[in-house]
Amino acid sequence: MTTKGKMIEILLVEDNPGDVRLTREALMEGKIRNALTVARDGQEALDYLLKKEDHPRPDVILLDLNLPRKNGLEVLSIIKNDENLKKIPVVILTTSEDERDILQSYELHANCYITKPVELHNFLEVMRCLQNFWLEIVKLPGTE
Amino acid sequence: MPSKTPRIDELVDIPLIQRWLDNFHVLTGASSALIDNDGTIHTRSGWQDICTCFHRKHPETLCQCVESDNYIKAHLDQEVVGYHCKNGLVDYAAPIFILGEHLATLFAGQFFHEPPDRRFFENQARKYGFPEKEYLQALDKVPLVPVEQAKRHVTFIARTTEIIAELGNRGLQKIREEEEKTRRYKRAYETLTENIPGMTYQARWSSEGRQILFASDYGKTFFGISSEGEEAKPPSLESFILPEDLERVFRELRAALEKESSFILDYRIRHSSGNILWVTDRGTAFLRNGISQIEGIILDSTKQKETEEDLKKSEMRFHRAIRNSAIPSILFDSSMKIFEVSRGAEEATGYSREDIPQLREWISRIAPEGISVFDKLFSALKENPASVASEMMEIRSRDGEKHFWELHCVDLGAFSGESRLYKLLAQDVTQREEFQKTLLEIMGKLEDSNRDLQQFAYVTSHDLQEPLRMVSSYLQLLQKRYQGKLGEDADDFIYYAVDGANRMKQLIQDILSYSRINTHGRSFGPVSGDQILQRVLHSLDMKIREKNAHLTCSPLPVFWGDPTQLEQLFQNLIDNALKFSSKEDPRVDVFAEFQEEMWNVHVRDNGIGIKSDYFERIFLMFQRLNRSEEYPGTGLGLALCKRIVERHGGCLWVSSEEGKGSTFSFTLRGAPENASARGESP
Repeated sequence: MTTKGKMIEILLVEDNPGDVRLTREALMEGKIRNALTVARDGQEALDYLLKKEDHPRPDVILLDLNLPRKNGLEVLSIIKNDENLKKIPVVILTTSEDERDILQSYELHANCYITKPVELHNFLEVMRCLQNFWLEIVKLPGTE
Repeated sequence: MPSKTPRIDELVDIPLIQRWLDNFHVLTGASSALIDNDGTIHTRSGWQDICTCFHRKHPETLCQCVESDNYIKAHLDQEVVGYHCKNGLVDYAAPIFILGEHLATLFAGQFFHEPPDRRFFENQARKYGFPEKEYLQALDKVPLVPVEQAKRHVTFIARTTEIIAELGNRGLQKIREEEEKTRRYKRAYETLTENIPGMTYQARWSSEGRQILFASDYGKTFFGISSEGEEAKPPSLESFILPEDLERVFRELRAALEKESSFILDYRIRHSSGNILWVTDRGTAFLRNGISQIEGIILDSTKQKETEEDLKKSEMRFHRAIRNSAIPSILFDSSMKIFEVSRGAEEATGYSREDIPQLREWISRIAPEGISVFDKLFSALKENPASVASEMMEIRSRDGEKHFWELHCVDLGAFSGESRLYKLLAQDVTQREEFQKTLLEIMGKLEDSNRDLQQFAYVTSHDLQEPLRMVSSYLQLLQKRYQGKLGEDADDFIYYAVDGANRMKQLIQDILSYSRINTHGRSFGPVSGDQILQRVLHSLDMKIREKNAHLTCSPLPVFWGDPTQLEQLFQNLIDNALKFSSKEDPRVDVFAEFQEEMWNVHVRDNGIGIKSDYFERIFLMFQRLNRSEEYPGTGLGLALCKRIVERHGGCLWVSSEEGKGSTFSFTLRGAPENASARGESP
């Protein structure tokens, strides 16, 4: 069992500073210690993931779909096709309720698809669920 | 026809018999007479003055002569009848039989058998006042002939006369036969001329034309000329011919005369009535005894000519009708030879019949691909000649103008021999085609625009959610962390800001649903009305309890539609009914009835009702009748319902009385019977 004190590395790929802050606030309200790294577009996220010398590999990636430069689905596709990266759980966190986006995300092996709710308390709820979910994830083999 | 008994004077040459009997009288002294049955005296020889000058002069003695004649006539069955006349002389008579018939009687007599009694005659002279001297002189001239000799004379004369008559009769028979033959010919000729509407003629050629020598009766009808040639100078046939035809007739006749040949001529004559007739003249020209003659028959051909003319005119009219038509039409026969090209066709294509006399070539000139179209059209017509075959063809005129033609081909029937006549006509549908094309383009644009609009509504409301989410989230964060810490005013401000954001969120979601009705709708299937109602009532359960409303639902049928949308429809209408129902004892009734192949569904409340002025406005987007504090809502609910019903091919309307309640009704199609398996239809 992992202790609560373990620092979780989270990569948030999100171009909207409002959402970044909201996510940060929501995580702060949670009980789990985390280190949040933010990439402001798809390319930045890939750069971060592929040049990992001076930083740890993220435990989970929160990925928005609507991104500048390289969009979320492209990023997802590259991650899930990379031998080293594909094991990192990717949670699609987006406003899009388009069925095609959802379907395509799962086809590209997204681990979870969450529509951003409008209500704040809903958002906080989602983040709490995500944390619980992540706790389940870390039970999987291959993680210390 | 039994031939009439000939008369004696027809059989014998009377003057010849007279001469013969005169000689006989000189030879024998016998007087004689040949008398017909009707009393005509044909010959008389050696008649005694005593008879001719005295007895037959005095009425009384004449009576005695006639008496003796009558006696003889009455006794003529005997070969020779002798009679002593009352005037004292002796007469003999012998009948003349020819062909078994008594035709005449030969009298011989006026003599004595014995010397006469002079005193008797002297008495006679005194009695009848004859001059005695002359009377007795005449008596002395009367010969004395013995009885036997007299009888022989009479018989001889009679028999000889019979022989002569027999010879005459033979001649007569021949004449009769000839006459009969001639009569028969004449009759045949008359029958012919009477029954043929024409005139036979014989004419002599002169500088003025045919001088008529003979013309049959019909000539009178034709020209008023008679067959008898009554006129002093017989008219020439040519004088009746119309001047326009005269030169031609002269030319032809001269040619026929030159070759002594037959001719057939058609020309017009002026009829005796003044009318103009067409005639056909068939004749032969020949030279006889150095004279140029023509014989022939002229027949009235007016009717035939009129029929021909009518036919020609009718044909001309037909051609003209085609020719002058503004509709492109072409007349052609089985060999594809073009007979007529309408002006319309010429103008549209720039090609005339003179340019291209062959239809297939004509068509390939205006439409290189058109030949196959035409072949298809023509073979369809041949398969069913009574039909009108039609095909579309794009043509290009001589100066490059494009037209769309709808071609029709009709079989006009037998033409000549094996050949048939056909009509090809074209309807220029260029405008129609262009119109159709434009219409399609406009429809396409309209569809694009509609799609754009829907996309716009969707994207707009979708993208509006993003900043709204920010506003709403941070306001709520503000409320969460700072409520009660910034003073009452701040709390109020935050409250109104949050409320505004919430209403905006609702609006955006309603617009999204509205725009999704057509774009995100599901395909139709059977939908159980009862099941939908159950789900709706379940989701409205809280509200119903809060309002303490009384809800009744009759069983609903299985509809044909989109289950999600129908659920939304029921949800919105029942929610509305609850929202606007009476504050005390609120009631909502849901029921349906089948009418004119559609289900009419009604949602009735006993609430505040609606003024009839607003019956239409309430279905428009964002139209609200009540203040939002009392009756919250975006004003899109009914617009959404209307759009859903319309997508299902029905309509939505309201009937209401202010203060008493409203009934919202809509029509929906029932599921087809074989598709209703899943539903619990009533």
